[in-house]
Formats: sequence, C-alpha cells, structure tokens
Amino acid sequence: MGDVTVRLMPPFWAVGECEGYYESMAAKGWLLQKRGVLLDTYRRGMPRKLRYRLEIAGSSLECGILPLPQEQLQLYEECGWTLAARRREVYVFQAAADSGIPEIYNEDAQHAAMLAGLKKHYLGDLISVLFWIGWLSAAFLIRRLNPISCKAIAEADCLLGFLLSFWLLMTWRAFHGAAMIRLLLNRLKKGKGIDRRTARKNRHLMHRMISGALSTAALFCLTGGIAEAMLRNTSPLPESGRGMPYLLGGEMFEARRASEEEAVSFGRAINYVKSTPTLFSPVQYHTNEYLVPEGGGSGVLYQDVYAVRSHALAEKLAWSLAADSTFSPREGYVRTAVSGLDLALVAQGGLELIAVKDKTVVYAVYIGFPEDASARLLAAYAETLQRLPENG
Amino acid sequence: MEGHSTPMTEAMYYILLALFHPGHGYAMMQRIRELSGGRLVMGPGTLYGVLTRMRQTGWITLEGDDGRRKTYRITDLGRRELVAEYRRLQRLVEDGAFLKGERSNG
Repeated sequence: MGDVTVRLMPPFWAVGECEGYYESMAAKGWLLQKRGVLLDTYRRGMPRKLRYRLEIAGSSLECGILPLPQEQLQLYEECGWTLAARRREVYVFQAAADSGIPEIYNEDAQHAAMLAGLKKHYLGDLISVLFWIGWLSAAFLIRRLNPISCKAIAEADCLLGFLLSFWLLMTWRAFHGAAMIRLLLNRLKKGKGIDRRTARKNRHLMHRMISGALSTAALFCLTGGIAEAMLRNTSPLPESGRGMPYLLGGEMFEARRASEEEAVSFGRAINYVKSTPTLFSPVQYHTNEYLVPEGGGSGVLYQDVYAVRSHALAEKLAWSLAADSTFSPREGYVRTAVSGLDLALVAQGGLELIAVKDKTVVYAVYIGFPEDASARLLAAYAETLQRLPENG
Repeated sequence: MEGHSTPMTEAMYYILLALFHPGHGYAMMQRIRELSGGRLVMGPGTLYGVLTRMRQTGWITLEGDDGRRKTYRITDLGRRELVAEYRRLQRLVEDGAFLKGERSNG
C-alpha cells in the first residue's frame, strides 16, 4: 500500500533543520511515527501544517538518560503538544501550526538550557571515543609499538582499517555535533532563535564529505575483512613442499611426519597448514609439523610466512617478530649473512630463526633437530623465497 | 532585606506573580496570560524549566501532588525576592520617567 516510508534521520545537532524537515514531510502527507537509530519512519496521512519541536531529556553519568518527568509531559499535553516519537533522550512533539498553541519555549535562555543536554550527549560520545583510542594507544605503547602494530598490520589489515576509520568517523561526528550545538547555543544567546529552514543542497558539505569518506572507508575495510575471513582455511600439510613458500621438515631432515596417533602424545598436535590471506598481504601461511627423527625422539617445525607490501615493512616485521618471539628476546637474535636472503636472524640458543627476502618474512621455530638445522633451514629459505612470484 | 544577585527574567517574575495564588502548570500559564493582558504567552518548556530552578532556590514549593498534576505556591523567600525585583523595576521606571511621551521608534 505504501502507507509507511523510512527516511535517513536528520542529525540531532541540526535541531532547527530537523524540526523543519518533519514539518515539510507532514506538509507532503508523511507524519513522523518512529525514530530509529539512523532512520525515521513515517506513515501516510492527510497533508497537514504541523509544528514539530525537539525536546531533550537530561542525563547523568550514574543514571544514564533521565526521561522527561510525567508532570512535564502532562503540561505539554495540556497545552496541545502531543508526543510524536521518541528515541533515547530526544523527544519529538507535534502540534497544529495555526492552532494558537504556545511555543514550547518562549525564552531563548530556557531553550538553550534544554539544548545543553544535547551538547552533553555529543561530549559524552567524544569522551567515550577518546577513552577507547587512548586505552588502545596505551596498550600499544606498553607492549612496544612495533611488535603489535607490524604484526597486526600484516595479519589483520582490514580489521585495523575498519576500526581506524570507524573510530575516526565516530570522533568526527561527536566533535562536529558538539561544535554545532555550541554554535546553536551561541545563536540562542544572541537572541536569533532557531533556524528551521530545511537543509539546502550544499549545506554542511564538508561534514557530509568527511562522514561519507570515512563511512566508505569503514565499509570497504569491513567488506575486505569479511572476504578475508571467508578465504581463511586450514588444511593438511601437502606431501611435497615444492612451489610452496614454506618448508616441510620431513623433506629437510632425516625424519618422518608423525601420525595422528603419535601426534596426540605431543598435546594438541595436528599437522596442518593454515592460510590467512589479507587484503594487502595475500600470501600468509602458518604451518605446524610434528616429526619423528630417524634417531628417535620428537621434533616440531612451526613456521609463519608473511608476504607484505614493501621490503621496509618486511624488515620491520622481522624485528617485531624477533621481539615478540616465543623463546628468545630481541637482543638474543644474531644477524647472520646468508647468500640469497636480505636479512637472516638466528636466536642464540637455537630453536628460532627469521628470514627476509624482499617482501617476504619467515619466522620458524624448530625443536628436536641437528645442530646445523638453522644453517640448513636458512639456506633452504634462501632458495624457496627466491622463487616466489611476490619477490620476482 | 536580601536581594538576588541578578535581575529576574520576565518568566521568573510572572511565574512568581502567578503563584501568589497556588496553582498547577497549565493554570499558571493561563494566569500569566491574564496578568500580562495577553502580552506574554508562556511556553510549557520555559515554565517547567523555571519552576524546576525556582524550586531548587527555594522561591517556590510544592503545595500538592495528585499524581497527575503538581500544585505550587510561592515561599516567603520567593515573596521577598519578588518584592525586591518589583522595587528594582519601579526605580528603573522612575529613573526613566522623563522618557514618557517619547516615541519608541525615535
């Protein structure tokens, strides 16, 4: 029947425009029925000349939003104002335009006092956004910026991009809203009253452009993140490592891959390769291989492979991985010259190494192998990484 | 007699005047319209805001509450403030008495 329609909600801070917009919709026969999070719902009616006025409920840190007192609502009703819609602290009242019903506020000072509640709303949003940004920044700094950020950039670029653009969007909206309410209060202080003309085409152009760009970036990154999540998969290790950016311990050392039954004795052991491509680092593998050396005992070869977007980032990531590695501190790594590799780092106590070739970084943990395992692994990485198309 | 530090707003002045006879919100609005000869139409938002503030300052107090409506009355402090404000306004008018007969649009 088309008796109901939804429209994007005018922003709270544009109080006058918001009221004017509802009035123009009513004049076309669309009466405000409900306020949602982003959308307003209107129902079809007779075109009417109505006045709409926004009223803001108070709020406090302890109690949250304090609804308008019953006495106040009763008073508005007795004067002829009816509640058209409400969401959170914003109440929308309506009255016939030519009925002689008094304005809700006949003093700008009182009107400004009510709108101060809206300023509090935006400042609250701003403080909460800044708190989270501050908390995360502190967390990054406490754990040294590099280990977290480089690895996070490599492993979750879309997620980080989404969070960053979303936070920027929220910060901008809160900051802009608070600033606009401040301007509105100044206008009221000067006795100019509220401007209820509906938005002109180019009005708030900068705000719309910034919000639009940040929303698009957030949406783009969110879509990328969903695609990344869908592309992730874990599969059994292949029989041959030829053409792969990682090595297979069974081919490198005198050892055979442990069976599922044997692997159980290692704990959570399963031989697998996990592929976790991201938008900017499409080649990412994590392998886990449990081995039984010919001389007996047990061995493990664990590898993280990242193909990042630049050699500089690859080197940074290598040092980040060294700082964040399982067994050795960053200072425990020794730089070794290996032909065919741009950077080779070996942990002094053995067990871990890092290799960089152009844009590709490998971090490997190897346990239970001969003493020359690090040299053999690095030589093999030099050969394997050379062949990767990412480094071509 | 103690006076208030800043002059009253028009709304405050008329609400206190109206509350010489205890009344609820809507009745107050009607009374204010009568008192001002129809010149001042008090908005319900303005009225409610001022009532809340004047209750906090102790110029008015709650007389009754039937669940739907609250009835207010002026307190002794409110009377004193109102009289002080009336005298202040009277002095202003007296000081400018020579303007009587002048045209406002010059």
